[in-house]
Amino acid sequence: MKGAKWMAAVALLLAARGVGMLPRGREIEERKLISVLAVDGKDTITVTAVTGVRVSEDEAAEVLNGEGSSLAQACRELRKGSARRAYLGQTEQILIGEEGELGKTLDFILTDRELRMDTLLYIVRGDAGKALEDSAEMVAGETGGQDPRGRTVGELLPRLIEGEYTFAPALAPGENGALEPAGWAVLSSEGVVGCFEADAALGATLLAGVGEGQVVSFPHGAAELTAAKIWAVDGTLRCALTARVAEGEVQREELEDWGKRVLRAALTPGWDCWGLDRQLGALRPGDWETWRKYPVEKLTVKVTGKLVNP
Amino acid sequence: MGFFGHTPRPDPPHPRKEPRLEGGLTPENLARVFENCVDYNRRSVCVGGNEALRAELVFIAGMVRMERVSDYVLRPLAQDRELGKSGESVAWEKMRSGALYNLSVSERTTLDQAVMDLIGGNCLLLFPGRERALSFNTGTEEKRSIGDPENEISVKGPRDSFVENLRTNTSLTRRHLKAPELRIEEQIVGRQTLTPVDILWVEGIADPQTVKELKRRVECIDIDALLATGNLEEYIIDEMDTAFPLLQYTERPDRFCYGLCQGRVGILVEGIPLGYLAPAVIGDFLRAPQDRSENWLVASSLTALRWLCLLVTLYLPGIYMAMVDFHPEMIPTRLALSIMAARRDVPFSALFETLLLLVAFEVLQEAGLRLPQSIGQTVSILGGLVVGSAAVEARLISPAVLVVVAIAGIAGYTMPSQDLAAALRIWRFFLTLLGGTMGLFGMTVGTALLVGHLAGLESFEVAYLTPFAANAGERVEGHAVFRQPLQTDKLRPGYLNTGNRRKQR
Repeated sequence: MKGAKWMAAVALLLAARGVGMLPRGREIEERKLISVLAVDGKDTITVTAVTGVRVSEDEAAEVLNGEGSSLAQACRELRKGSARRAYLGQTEQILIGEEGELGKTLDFILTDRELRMDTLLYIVRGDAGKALEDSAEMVAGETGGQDPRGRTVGELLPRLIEGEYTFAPALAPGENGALEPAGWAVLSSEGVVGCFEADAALGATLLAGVGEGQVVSFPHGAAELTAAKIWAVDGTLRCALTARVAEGEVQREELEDWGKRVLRAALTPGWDCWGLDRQLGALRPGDWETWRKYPVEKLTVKVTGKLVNP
Repeated sequence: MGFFGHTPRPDPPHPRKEPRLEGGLTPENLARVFENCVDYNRRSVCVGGNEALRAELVFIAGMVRMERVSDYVLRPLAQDRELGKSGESVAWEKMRSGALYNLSVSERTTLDQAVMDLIGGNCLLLFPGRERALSFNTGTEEKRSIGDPENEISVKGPRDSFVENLRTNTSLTRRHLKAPELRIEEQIVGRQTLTPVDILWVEGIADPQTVKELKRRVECIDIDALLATGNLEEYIIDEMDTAFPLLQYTERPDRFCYGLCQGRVGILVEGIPLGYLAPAVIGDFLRAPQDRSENWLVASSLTALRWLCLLVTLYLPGIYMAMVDFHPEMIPTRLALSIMAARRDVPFSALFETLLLLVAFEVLQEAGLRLPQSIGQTVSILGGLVVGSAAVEARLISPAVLVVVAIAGIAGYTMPSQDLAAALRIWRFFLTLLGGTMGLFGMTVGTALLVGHLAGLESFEVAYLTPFAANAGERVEGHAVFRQPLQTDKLRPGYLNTGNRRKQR
């Protein structure tokens, strides 16, 4: 009786396998692991992919291209370019061109069986595909986790789905072809709506909570930020900065003024990418509606600085 | 009609002849029984020097200790004049009541009893024409001396181990466990080997139902020979269709006695230097003998490590297969690139390669076991290092698979029970096959089948997965992974249904 049960279980599995109900495997060496994917275009989508390489073995990265009316079709075209199947499951970075179709890309990531939510997303100034091709050797050997500014698709999606602003690191081609940091791109469900540059980018970095380690130059010296705590309450954005004097002489007031300036620059365009309104509302649940959609540009900025000598 | 056209024949009858030997207890019948047996000896002796009163001394050479027969039976028999002066009946009574020096003497009246005594190392004294005999225990005590346990080594703890002699083993048990409540009952198993099997338990602690059930199962064994452990194990366990051990065995008397103190029932068998304990649950097979000698934190950590190794040895090749063929996104990118590069020139599929290496691993292990120790080590080194690295260099296998199979194999060696390790190896093949053909879905199906299988197992009506599973619908407490500090471990395991659960103040 027991033997019959086992036989039935095995027969069921074999039958399911036979009729294709179970997944079919593919040898790993028959795949081509894509490490970076670039997406450009609105009506005609272009994808450019770079395969992962082992830097220690001096392997050369391969660039694959595909074009189609949709991202899925473009990826299908991309796969045709290689005898081995291009596998997107190991994609660590997705680069989207400034003019690229953000919504379609995110939709594709959500529905595709291979692409993952923990893939880092970057916005590239100009043509992402060309920038990727030019920097293929460099990006193929890097791992995405090394970029402290990296934000994953999973981190961006919740705010976009709710129709709010969010931000992603922006990159631009440098002099030697390498992609270099170029502030932050502001995203909404419509696509890329703007960017934080210069002081605004520094302010956005502080608000994003990744400001530690930045070196700020002052007229008579420089300081390295060791801690930056920011919270919003009662219409005021409070910021506590702690910095280590790295060079020369730095006054506490200079640090506070710098903090106010960069934060104000980040708030002025009125893009609340950090959920400050929710923070305001959450701390005063009784006045939730008042604070819920509070315009961030109206926030009063108060910064307290603390200098630590080395 | 059978499957291949073969007509199955009914099994022939297997009657037990009672009595086994026919005829009266006479020297002639004994000689007939041992006809063509060169070790059978018979000697006629004048009792007390009286030529008219002769007795027959019968024994089997090699089974008796010659000095005992000569000094304590033959010498007083020949030299005690008082025995010769009296008649046959009086002499018989005197001999039976102590005229001949022996620790035990029994009167035998049937041929069966007398023959069994002879084979057991007794010598028999008979008067011609009388169908009775006096049986003296003069057996030789040749046996292997008590040595260190070979397979259950403990740094801190006793160094004695069971031997092949049953009486020595019961004496070892008595020395460790001096409680007068220790009970030892004997049954004879095997029509040809007539092997004594002793069932041991501590009265008042062991569950009487378990004792009764074990006795019943041993009684039911009707085989030709009990020469191997399987002759006993396979006949008394609850479930045959499993590779998992359902009886725990040990070669250490201290561990055996600890089991008896817990409320388990022990079995000792003549000729087998092991003690069995029943019931046994899965946690028992993951405890090492030194666990109770070490600090509880150390012992708990090591036991947890063994559980982890159990999972590693069971699942690692299967998960590797599933990840490489079905779910490469689970592998970190750099590792995936390395695996791809290593596999590029390998001519076999990952599944075939893994199964091939698993089989090779088993072959190497088997070859190492069957050969003398010195050659076995050479084979292991040759197989593991030379052939392994040569196969990798020749691109016959990829290094990743070699590492995976080696880790799984080494993790299996941490199992304190070789029986459990063997069962895990069988299931490892099965899970690897499922992982390689159906990915993580297959592994999940395999795990479900394994858990279902284990949940269906019982050892003497105790669920095998205790304390993870309920017993007869009732959950019982227990500690399978972590060992409590001994001072706080006040109760015997609930699932053993012990008569007295408290074991310390």
